[in-house]
Amino acid sequence: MRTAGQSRLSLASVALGVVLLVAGSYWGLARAPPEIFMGDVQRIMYVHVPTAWNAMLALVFAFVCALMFLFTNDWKWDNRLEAAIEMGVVLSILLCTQGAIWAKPTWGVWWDWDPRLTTTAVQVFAFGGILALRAFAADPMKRAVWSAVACIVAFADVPIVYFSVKWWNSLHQAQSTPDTVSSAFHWPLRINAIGILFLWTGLVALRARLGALRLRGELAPPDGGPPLVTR
Amino acid sequence: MRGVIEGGWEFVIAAYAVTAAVLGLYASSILLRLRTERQRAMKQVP
Amino acid sequence: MSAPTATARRSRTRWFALGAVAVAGAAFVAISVSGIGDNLVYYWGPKELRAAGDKAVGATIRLGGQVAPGSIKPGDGVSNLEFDVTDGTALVHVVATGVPPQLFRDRIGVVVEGTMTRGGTFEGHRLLVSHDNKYRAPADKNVDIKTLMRSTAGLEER
Repeated sequence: MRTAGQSRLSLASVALGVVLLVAGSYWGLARAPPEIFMGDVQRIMYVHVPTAWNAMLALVFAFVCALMFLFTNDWKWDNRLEAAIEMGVVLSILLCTQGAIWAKPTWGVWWDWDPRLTTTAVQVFAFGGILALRAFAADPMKRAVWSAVACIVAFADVPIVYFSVKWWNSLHQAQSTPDTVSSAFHWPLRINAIGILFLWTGLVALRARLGALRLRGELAPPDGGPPLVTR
Repeated sequence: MRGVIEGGWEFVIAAYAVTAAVLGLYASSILLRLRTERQRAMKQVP
Repeated sequence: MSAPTATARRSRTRWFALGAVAVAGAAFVAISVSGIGDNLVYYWGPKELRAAGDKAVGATIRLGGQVAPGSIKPGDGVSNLEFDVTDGTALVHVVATGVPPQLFRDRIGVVVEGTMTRGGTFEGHRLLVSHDNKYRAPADKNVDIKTLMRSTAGLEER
């Protein structure tokens, strides 16, 4: 019953996220003014920037889960780790796709190997690689320990993605601040950012639940006796 | 060469459509996988 | 699983955590401070390109900077687009082929891929516009259009 309640809470979070995303996107697409040079194309910002922030947040959460698992050896952190990495990879791939669609009319190309884009690609492949390795590891304990270790190491790239536009010459612009973005553009950006936040936290909770069920199946003795993990 | 982007709604629509599709498909995949796994778990532990 | 084994394993995985954090931290510090990143040059600024002199001639490189105001000569629309790229101190004259992106204008940030000639002209065959981090609504009353035009270039902080 406890889990049914948790699932309901996660689903409510997902639903709230969807509502906020619809509202923020409506504001961004129909109410906000076009940017004076970029015109309507600037509206892509309202999905691209919130995706970037949340991809980073999801990977920060994955990093925390990895540390928590190694310190406690509690399986729930392994389930959350898997869920958070998967979410981080999905958001990072989405981020690159939105970025390419915005880049074509703005920069003139879909993609270029500038420091920001390159380090983001590294992020996709590093964390995607951890998911691929997990799929091949048969022993749950080894899988959990090594993906946590790999996640901590791969996390080094996440702040590098953030700082890439400050440290190196890049095609991608540096971070905007509220001072460099007109106030007319602020609310759709914030609403969509909070929307994606609710959406991904709900989805990660559900995905962790899925991981827990699978793990219970893996650890259950073949004779159908009581499972080793009751969580 | 006015330095202003004219039009481009097709890019805007594409970006929002991709966002909706990726998030929607990923969410449905989790819900589907969760349902399958729950059914399997019910069978395993009666 | 007996209790001592679980405790021993936990203590081992804690060391793994510390080791992994050390590796990640070392990698981050190496890339941020040590100058490994200095070898990853995405583009050269006009000053660096001028300073490189003959070494820059011939190879395919990228030049980045701002379009110097008033320097644009449109050419025939497909080729011979001429303009100067500046970083505030140095200037490089560019002759580019291809249709520039729509945002191309005075003071916009650009990245041009091409080769430096012995004559000191940069022959660009790929022209990218680099947008800055400023986004302005048309009705923003506290923005003066002159400051705006000055601030729309991508690289004025350099």
